[in-house]
Amino acid sequence: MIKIKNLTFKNPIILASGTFGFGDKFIEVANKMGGIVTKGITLKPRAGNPVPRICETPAGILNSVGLENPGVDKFKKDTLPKLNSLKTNLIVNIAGNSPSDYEKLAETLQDTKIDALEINVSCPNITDKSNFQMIGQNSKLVYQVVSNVRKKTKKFLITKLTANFIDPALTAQASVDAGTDAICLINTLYGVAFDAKTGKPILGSITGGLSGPAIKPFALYCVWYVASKVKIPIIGCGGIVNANDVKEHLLAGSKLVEVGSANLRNPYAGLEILKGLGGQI
Amino acid sequence: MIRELSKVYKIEKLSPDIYSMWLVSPVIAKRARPGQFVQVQISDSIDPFLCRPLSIANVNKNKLRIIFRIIGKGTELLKDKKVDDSVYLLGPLGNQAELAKNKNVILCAGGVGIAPLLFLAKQLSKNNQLFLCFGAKNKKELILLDEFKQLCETIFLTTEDGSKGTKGFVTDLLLAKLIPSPRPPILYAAGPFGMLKKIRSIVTNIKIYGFLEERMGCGCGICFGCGVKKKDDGYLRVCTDGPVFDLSEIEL
Repeated sequence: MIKIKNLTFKNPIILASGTFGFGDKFIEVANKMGGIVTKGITLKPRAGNPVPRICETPAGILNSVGLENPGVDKFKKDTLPKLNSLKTNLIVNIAGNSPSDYEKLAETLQDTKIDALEINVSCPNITDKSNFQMIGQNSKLVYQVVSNVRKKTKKFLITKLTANFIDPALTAQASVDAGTDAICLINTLYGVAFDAKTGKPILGSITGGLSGPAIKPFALYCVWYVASKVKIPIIGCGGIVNANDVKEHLLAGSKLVEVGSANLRNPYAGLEILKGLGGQI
Repeated sequence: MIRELSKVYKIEKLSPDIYSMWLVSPVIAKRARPGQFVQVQISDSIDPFLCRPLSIANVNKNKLRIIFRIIGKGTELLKDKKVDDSVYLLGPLGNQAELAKNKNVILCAGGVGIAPLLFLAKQLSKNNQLFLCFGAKNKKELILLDEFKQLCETIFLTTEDGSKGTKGFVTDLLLAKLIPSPRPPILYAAGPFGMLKKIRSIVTNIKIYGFLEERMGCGCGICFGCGVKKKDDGYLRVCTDGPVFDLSEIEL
């Protein structure tokens, strides 16, 4: 059992956003976890990116789903009621294009029974393609987003950060200063894949986010590095597929972990990792 | 849906790069319906990382059959499995094809798209008249013909190189031979995206069920990695809303 502020996690495993739907499937798996993060929710509905949205890379996955979701109002009305009986921490991942988007999202979700919000400032697939910038690459913007959310909600806040072209210790510190309760490191890394036969990019939106075992050493580095610089509970994320990977993330300085790509390979991966840990954690 | 450790029962080469594999998978075999697929975890290793979505080509008691073309690392490793090797299967996944009754049914297959149509044909042959239009690159790729001969009234074949049947594409044949049929048939089509698109453009007056292929992540509706455009707007999941779609409802 792990307690951070007012929130208790029955074990350190959280299922990562975008890899376990909205929390309304495989409920028997979700209930055994320390928490589950929904797919990213935005203010307005998003149709998502053109297909193909996913391709396999060596020991990993490149994806560009593009935050397909029904929008916060529909999510609140249609999906959340189905999640009331979940016996785990329900964490809603929120994503926007501006600090005011996040503020409105937090406000809309304030009166719900969800346990925490994960502020997603690090999705590489909704980057403004004209300047390749995401909020998570600018610590001033990160500060603004997190403090806007903090003003609107008393809920537990996780800020999910990127390590793409930015020193994550800077954005970690900014989110701590703005009042986050934990940070999650790392979101997917920039990636592109081409089909050598056709000469064309594989993904419909050309670029994507890389995840899976291929990024584990870098994720561990980021956790270890930020843990040495910023005093805040860290949720380690990147390349976890078994119990040893969890232990490595904890050794690097994580308090909790998020399991992502492994769920795509096996929707029961969370259970197997937990079994692998036995009573050791 | 279940994740079942399944033993390879039989593996057979059907053409230079198409293989058939029977696996002992009692629960999935019992629940499987035509149109559905399984996610095959090729290896315990982290590379290749994802499962391979393969349609269920047939079931027999506690066994199910998959048929696949070697297109990359995953299928290459799969074909090297030996009898009694085990792989994890997740399934049965996806929706099932609506089964026609007392109809003239046209089955239209392009290449390895023939696989799911075999399972379907076994079910439909009891109370429908079946006509198969099957197109492949060459004679060697016209697989499973002996099995279809027992199920179909007539079989029309095409090859791109003319080594067997009519030279050309299966869609040309479909247009020429079957559409002016007296009784409106129902059409099930499985093959490349381009083939489905062509079929929809030439066949307008009858119901067409298309079996889609698409790159997938999870195969079970939790990653939103596969998608097909809806007629109006937005996407449907190929893995959970499909893989069988009424072609009038999607954008091709």
